[in-house]
Amino acid sequence: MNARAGRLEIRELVKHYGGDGPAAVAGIDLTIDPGEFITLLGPSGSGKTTTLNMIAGFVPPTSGSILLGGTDLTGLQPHKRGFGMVFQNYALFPHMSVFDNVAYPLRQRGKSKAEIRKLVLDIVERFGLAGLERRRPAQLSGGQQQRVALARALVFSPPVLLLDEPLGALDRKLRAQLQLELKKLHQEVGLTFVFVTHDQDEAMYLSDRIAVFDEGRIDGMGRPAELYDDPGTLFVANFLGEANTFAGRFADPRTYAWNDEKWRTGEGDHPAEAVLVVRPERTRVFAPGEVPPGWNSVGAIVTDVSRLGPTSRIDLAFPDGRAGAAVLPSTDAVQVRVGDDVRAAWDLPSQAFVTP
Amino acid sequence: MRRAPLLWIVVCSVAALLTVPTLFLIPMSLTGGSTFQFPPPSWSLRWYRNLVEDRGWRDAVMVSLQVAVLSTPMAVAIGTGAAFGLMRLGARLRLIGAGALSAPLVIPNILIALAIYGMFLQMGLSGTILGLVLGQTALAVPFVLIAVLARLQGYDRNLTAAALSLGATPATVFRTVTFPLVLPGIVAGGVFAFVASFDELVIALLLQSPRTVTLPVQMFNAVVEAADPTISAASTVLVVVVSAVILVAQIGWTRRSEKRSGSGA
Repeated sequence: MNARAGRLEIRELVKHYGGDGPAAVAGIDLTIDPGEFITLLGPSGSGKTTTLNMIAGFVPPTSGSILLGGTDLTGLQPHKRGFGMVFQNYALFPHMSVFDNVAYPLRQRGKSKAEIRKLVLDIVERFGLAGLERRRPAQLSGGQQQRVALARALVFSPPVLLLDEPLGALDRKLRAQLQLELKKLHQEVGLTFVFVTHDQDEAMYLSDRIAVFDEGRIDGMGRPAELYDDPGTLFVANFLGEANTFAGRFADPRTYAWNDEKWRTGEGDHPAEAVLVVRPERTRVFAPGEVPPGWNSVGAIVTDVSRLGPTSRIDLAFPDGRAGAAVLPSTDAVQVRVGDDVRAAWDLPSQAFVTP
Repeated sequence: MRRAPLLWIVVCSVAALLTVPTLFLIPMSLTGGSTFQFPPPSWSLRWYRNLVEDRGWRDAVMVSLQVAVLSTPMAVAIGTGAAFGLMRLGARLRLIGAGALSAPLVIPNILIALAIYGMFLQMGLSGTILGLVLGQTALAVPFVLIAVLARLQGYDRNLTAAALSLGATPATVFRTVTFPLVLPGIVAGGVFAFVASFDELVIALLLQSPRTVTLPVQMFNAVVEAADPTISAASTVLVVVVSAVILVAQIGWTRRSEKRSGSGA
């Protein structure tokens, strides 16, 4: 399983299903380096799955192109692309044994019987499926089926592995376990992984880079931590985790005004029209008058305090009636009660400006 | 494993209700007398001998087999093709199409028979084997269509996508994935089509000529004219053939699945 691929390039990709509706995919540009784990993240209907299906060749794009290592694949039929793909429900062939499922892509490539046997038994062993070769998919657990699907998609050494919400159907515990396996697998095989999910935690955990989809466009793109700390747009801020958002305006380049509050802004440029966002875990709660100097703060009423173990969550109502939250170490949270009048505060590095 | 006794009683009662009247045929066909007296006064195979030696009965069995053997593959081909075609339509058109093709199930057979009779008379198909085959094919298509359509609706299209992504051409995908998974529906439809054709009476009655008397028509005529226990023997043959077809299909299928799951590496 060696990466022999070049970079995967997607240029101005558009898919319009006809009719008067908006484009399902409205112009996507994406360059994926060999060996990268990239996640297409977005709510349902955002165009992430359509994009994956265009890469796989199942959906013909209305315009735009897809290139692998400089070769244009756009018009190529799916069976000639040679990409591995894992489906949400695994799509294992129910009438074939594990062995025959994994051997399927090798048979299509006209490998000799001995070679097929060796390759299949090798990968089956590697995925911890040894001894199950004769079983049918229905006789396997969800986790085993998942591994068969991965083995089948990798056994022919594809340059790129496409994964369409492959963990979507699993319960939480198994899901966490398979996320770990998937991450290890990616590090071992060094293939390009294009992963589709609507689960932001999964995306943050697995990816080298995340492309956040909204209404057929990529709204934000970057390494998980960067994208989380500096989301760029309000949509990304809200989709990738939780955010306290304040839609005010710049009174002058160094002062942001919201409601009756005046806040300092950090160094650097900000978009002219901007929304201030602060993550709950970077929001602290103080009694009025105790806010540390140099911090920005806003009046709030505590609406709920819930202890989640090591952290506690304090739900807040801001003066404009909107809800927000602060997540604190539980040791700090005990002093706050429901109904308290408090100041929610944050230091300058904790705030970010995003476009609405 | 113990099951609820009440369930057993219900199951056995229903099974008895459905099969016992048919089972009475067998002793009656083995009677030595010439009436339908039960229990038979003596035992004999004379009515079976009559069935084989009497030209009318022998020919009727042959005609029925011939017609069923010809119309079954036609119904299978048309019904399967229609099912695949309907799957490519939108949900609404599919419903309309499936409804239209299943009409023979709902429309009284006598109406269909009259329509076919009128048309075939003009076309010179009345009284021919071809005419019988065509008429019974039309009646048998819905059985195949419904069985295959049910199978196709349960077919996960991701399987096709998966096979394509693994490098199989569309033709190979059909041969190795789609067709094997739909095959049970085709076989079941074929069995029903065969049975439907083999014991069909109304169309065969209207299209009959001296050369195209099917077994059900011969039985009908025998009852109308003068019933003797040959009809019990004929009925027994009919029941045995039909049951054998279904049983063989079922056993064959079970064997095949067992063998398949045992293979692999």
